[in-house]
Amino acid sequence: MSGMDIPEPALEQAARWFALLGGDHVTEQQKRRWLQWLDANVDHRRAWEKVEHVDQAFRAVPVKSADSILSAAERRRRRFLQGLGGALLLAPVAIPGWLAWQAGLGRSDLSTARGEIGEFTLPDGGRLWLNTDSAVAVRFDDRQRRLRLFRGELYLRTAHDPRPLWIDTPEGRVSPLGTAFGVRLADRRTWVSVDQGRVRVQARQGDADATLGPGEGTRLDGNGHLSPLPGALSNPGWRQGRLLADGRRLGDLLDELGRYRHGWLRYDPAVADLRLTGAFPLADTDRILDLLEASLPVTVTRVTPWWVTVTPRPH
Amino acid sequence: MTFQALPSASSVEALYLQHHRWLHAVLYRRSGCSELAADLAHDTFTRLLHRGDNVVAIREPRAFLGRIANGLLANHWRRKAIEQAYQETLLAQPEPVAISPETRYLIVETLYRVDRLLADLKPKVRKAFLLSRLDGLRYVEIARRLQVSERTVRNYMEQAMFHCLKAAPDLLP
Repeated sequence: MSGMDIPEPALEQAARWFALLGGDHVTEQQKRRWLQWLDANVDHRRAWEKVEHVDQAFRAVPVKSADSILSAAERRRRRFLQGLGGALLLAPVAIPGWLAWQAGLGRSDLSTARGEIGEFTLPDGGRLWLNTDSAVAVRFDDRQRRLRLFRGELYLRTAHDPRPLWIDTPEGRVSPLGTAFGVRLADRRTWVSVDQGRVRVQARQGDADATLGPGEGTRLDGNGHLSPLPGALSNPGWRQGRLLADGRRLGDLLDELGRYRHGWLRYDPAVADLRLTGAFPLADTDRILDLLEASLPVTVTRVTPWWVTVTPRPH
Repeated sequence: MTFQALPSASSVEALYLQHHRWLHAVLYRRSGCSELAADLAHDTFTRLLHRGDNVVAIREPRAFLGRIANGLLANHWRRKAIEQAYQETLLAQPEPVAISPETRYLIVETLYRVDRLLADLKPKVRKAFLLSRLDGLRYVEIARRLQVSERTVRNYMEQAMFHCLKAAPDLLP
């Protein structure tokens, strides 16, 4: 009964206040306005009581990562229904470990900060490089070697080892067959590019499955679509701490550079199509910006150290 | 065209006698488990009895029973899936976790209710709301995880709360 007779606009406003007051930066003025709103009308107070009631109901839920659990349950259910509807061959494959990691319980073991590039030796002797702002969980046991890329980009040179190895990403699974290759998460996709050997890429959604050879790459999205990529990684030089450009668009290069910097790096569309060639040191991105200014008709403006814009140089 | 008035116990009984075997067979075909099919068939008829004084005229008893049974079966799978996902979450903990069967039942039940209450929301809206309320994350962190702006997170929170405010109070977890 309660709630049925509170006018909908009051509920709407209460929901808006709830969302606003739950934010990270609530001003005194906003709090005052909220109190005024509460006092203005009995419906407002009743609507707010209801907000608190709902909020308390959720606060009493003793589960963390509930969303991951529910999403995992949803995927499992869909898979199950699919299996019933058609081919029973669609048995849930290797889902448990995947779910556990999905549930946010797999901590990332190796990570790099923004601007940092890391090189690591894995328990099997393989070499792992992490590009800027990346995180990976490593789970090796006596039967398998599992990696999970949470964010960013990795490059792997695998060791010889009889145990199967794979890398899980939000979009799918990448399994190398003795090889050197890179995996990157960007734009809600998984990008894979192979230097040596062969790498299998399997979508998590649907049954897309491809095996890539040297020089090949692919892009996998959340709907299970695989699209082949002609080129290699966006910046093949990153493991050496270099940003390589070979007649590259300035816009692309600045996007890439932005991954290594804190704050905003913005550019005027008018400069995006300028081309440049060079090998730039990623350890000092400010110096790269200086180099750009020296070699191209652009102006680099530092509004603050964290807010940099690149615009056409005035004549 | 025949109409049947429900739910007097006798009409439910008549339905039961006429359609129980059929319903069991349907549920068995769908679930592959005779015991589960029997339970759900039973629940379907219990549901009818519990409809109180609402008189429902049904034209196609089998379609009607089938719809209720389907809903129950879907709920059953949903709960099962949640139970398993929760189980796997526990197994994945670095340290073994001891949880009594009662507590586990309560948690799964709560998750199931949360799931039903928020099922109609867009996935990101639901995610934002749960991350905020259950995991205690700040908007800025939620924004980072969902790759949206903080303003969008605030908007999601508003949508989710409005949805809950409109829902029946007994649906709350």
